[in-house]
Amino acid sequence: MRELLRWLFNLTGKELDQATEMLSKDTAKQRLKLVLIQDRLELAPEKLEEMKKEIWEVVSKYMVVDDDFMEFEVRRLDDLTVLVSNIEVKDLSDLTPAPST
Amino acid sequence: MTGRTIVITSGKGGVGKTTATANIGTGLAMRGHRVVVVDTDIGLRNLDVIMGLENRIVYDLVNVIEGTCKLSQAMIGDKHDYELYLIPAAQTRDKNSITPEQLREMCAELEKEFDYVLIDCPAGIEQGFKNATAAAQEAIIVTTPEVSAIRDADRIIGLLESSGLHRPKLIINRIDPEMVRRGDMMDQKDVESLLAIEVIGLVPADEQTIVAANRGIPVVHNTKSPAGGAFLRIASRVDGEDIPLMDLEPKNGLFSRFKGMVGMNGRAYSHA
Ligand SMILES: Nc1ncnc2c1ncn2[C@@H]1O[C@H](COP(=O)(O)OP(=O)(O)OP(=O)(O)O)[C@@H](O)[C@H]1O
Ligand SMILES: [Mg+2]
Repeated sequence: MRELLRWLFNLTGKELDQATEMLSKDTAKQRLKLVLIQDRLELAPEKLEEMKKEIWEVVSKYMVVDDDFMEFEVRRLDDLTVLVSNIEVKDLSDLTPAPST
Repeated sequence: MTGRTIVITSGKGGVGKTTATANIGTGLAMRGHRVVVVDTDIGLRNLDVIMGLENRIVYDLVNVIEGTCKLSQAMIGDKHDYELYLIPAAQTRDKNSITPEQLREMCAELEKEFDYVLIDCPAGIEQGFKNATAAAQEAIIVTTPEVSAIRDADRIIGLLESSGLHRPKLIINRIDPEMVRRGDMMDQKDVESLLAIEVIGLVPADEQTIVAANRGIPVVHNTKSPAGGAFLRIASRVDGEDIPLMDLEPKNGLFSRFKGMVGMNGRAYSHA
């Protein structure tokens, strides 16, 4: 039956799980969880800016990095919400072990 | 006397703000308080018809603000034997006819005379919302257990927070206990975990609400109806009484469905 459905509708296993087994209220809840995270971030751009600055400061304690992030955003990855940040490393020399005395 | 000004708001339209305002206002008046309800949905007034007072309107909110009439002249006394008054919205003006400061000033005036000032807020997050929320010290958010209404409620929580209206309370309206039982509708716990605010009332979907609206007599007068009973309990909680929320789920599934079939429906849902 599962295989037939999968074949008929060309669904992935996960989609099939959702379509056949999940209660619709749980689907609603799961979708809302993600939407609300994103909405809340959009409502608080200052917070995001603040976090970005702090992360830059922490990273620059350990290595020489570019003044700005190449990428810094919260985005959807399938059913996850992820923070993606990319920053160019200019110099790693601070990370080399201190010469033993 | 200093009364409490409470705004009833939602973000999404049509979820039951006006119904809640009329019923909580009436419920508080039934408990012996002096209450005034203010319709701030300028251009789309409705609180007057829900309360059955549409034929008595002479002056409205904008008249008061613009000084065309005295505050007392715009207050319409309820048909029943309670200390309950309505200030209707203007129908032929728009939301920019008043400012948040003006409404705040008017409510401050009302607070001197009334225990409760309830503000029926228009849908949306524009000028009308800003007016209504600026005038209140407390907020009640109405939602239905649906994705779009909950999403909008969450935005409203954020906006209220940033304008200094902290700890709003939530009413979940139009709950269908049978759908909840099947897992096709989010329940109190689901909504609570998403929005993380205190729930002050659960109101079942109840056709008596519509019958009441047809007649212009708020459903809370019919305290035996599921929604009427729920609204009266919400009024008690607003008033500081500590009564627990009860599950709306049909108590004993099969039996209450059987009762439903033979027309004894209602009682099973009537706790909230
Ligand atoms: N618990 C309920 N059971 C059944 N019907 C309801 C219930 N609550 C509200 N309704 C109906 O839903 C409709 C919308 O309600 P209401 O006008 O109170 O919403 P609103 O949020 O004020 O809308 P708007 O955003 O347009 O101002 C009305 O027809 C009302 O009778
Ligand atoms: Mg309304």
